[in-house]
Amino acid sequence: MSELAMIQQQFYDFVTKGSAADGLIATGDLKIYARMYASRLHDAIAGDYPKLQNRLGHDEFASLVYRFIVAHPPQSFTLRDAGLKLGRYLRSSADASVGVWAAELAELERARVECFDARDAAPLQQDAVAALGDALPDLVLRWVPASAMVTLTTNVDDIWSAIEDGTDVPAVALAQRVVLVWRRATTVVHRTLDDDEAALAPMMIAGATFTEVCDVLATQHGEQAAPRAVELLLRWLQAEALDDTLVARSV
Amino acid sequence: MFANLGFGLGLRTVHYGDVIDSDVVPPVDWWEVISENFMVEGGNPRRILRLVRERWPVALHGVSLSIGTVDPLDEHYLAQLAALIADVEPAIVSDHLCWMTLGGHSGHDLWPLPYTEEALNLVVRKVQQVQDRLKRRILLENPSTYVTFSASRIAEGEFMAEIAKRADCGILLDVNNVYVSCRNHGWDPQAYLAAIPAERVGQIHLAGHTDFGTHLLDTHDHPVCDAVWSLYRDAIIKLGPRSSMIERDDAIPPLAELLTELANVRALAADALAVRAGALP
Ligand SMILES: [Fe+2]
Repeated sequence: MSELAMIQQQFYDFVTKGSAADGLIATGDLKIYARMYASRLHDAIAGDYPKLQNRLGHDEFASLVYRFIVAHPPQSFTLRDAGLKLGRYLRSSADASVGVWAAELAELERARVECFDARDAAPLQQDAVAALGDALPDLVLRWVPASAMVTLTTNVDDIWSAIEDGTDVPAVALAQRVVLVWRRATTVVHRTLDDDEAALAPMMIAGATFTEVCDVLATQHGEQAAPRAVELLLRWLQAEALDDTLVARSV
Repeated sequence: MFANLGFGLGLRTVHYGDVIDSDVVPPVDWWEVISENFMVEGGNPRRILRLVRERWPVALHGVSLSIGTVDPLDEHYLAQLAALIADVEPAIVSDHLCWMTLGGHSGHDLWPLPYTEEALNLVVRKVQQVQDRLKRRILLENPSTYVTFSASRIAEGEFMAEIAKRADCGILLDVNNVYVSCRNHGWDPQAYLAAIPAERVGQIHLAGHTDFGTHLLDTHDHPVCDAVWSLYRDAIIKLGPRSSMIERDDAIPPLAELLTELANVRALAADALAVRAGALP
């Protein structure tokens, strides 16, 4: 190992793990770098998971972030990804102390971060769909690229909203839900899906034709499947959640 | 070697509205953006950068090149930087004389190098690789540092100068960083400036710092202090006209306040140039 490699290893180990660094420096204080390492990562991760920090409280969140960065030291060049695996980390048995709701809240917050700067795409327009006429059954329905599905077993969507709105935050409760997160123009939004929508949502990541959507709805709604399909289609169009699959695009 | 862009500011999220949506175009000659903040696929960051670039020259200022690490260069990062450069066509591309990665892990900080012959050779070789990859000259910025290494043998100003000369790159002279590091380590800022080859300096940073008593920290959360103004004046007398800008990253005031501070930069540069021309003592 070269002198430079040894110096960098010693510096890195001191700053990130508190190992000894005897004789390394001539002047100054290495602890300044150790404090900055911890605080910069903490602040970046707190910026991405404000609702989780709100629920855990400042100290418990800070302690979680500390355990997390020891387990997953950042590997990406961008600070944006420093907390990428926080949800997965919370789900793993390695840190089950805070419960599955915390993992799910983290996953919801992360999905919003990912949608914020995901690929741009023009949303499918209502008048373009109206102009299809008889070709409607073949229309491919696909979520915009800046979208994500988050599957929940707890009511963290309600908890998220209550914190956002400044209303009373409900207690954690079990609840099977699917939340769709997407970006409208430059604003990230999310909505908890109805049960029949939740059944359709995974198909619409890759794309499903309107006919395929009607077929799935028929198992729940029988003869009411077609009107329900139209109702949902309008809802998604108004929400600008559908990708413009009518435009051939070179990607 | 480098075009003078005039007087700029660092583009920050809180000012997006004033920069893009306001009827009054802010009197700023160019903007510097943090490259990594725009290495994303889409959404508002890329939209803003497009709109700003339509109206102004832009400098891409990176923090993640990690030029001084013993790790190999991050090809994934360089590819993203190259793509951003192709998209933005920036006037300047810069990063820092520092390292932030080791063993594939990132510290997300500008860590100092020991100023040794080995580090010098490594940085020179890597700058050459980066410039070959990007097909353009880059600028390296002198860092604010809080330690010096027992192994260091070369003064920082001379280290910067030697890299610039051997790697044929530019220098982004951060006058606040010169001041902070000199104060922290008992170096002489005038000797530091004297070591910097004027023709290599492509851009100047001004910023504020915080005095913690035991050390100065490069926090970018205060206006530029008097001592740094004075050092900037000395720098312009030595260098001549140079693209100059203010960095502010914390406790960010309204844009109007930064524009007032930028007007100070213009006035001080004009004064320094008059001295340089012999019109003033
Ligand atoms: Fe700087």
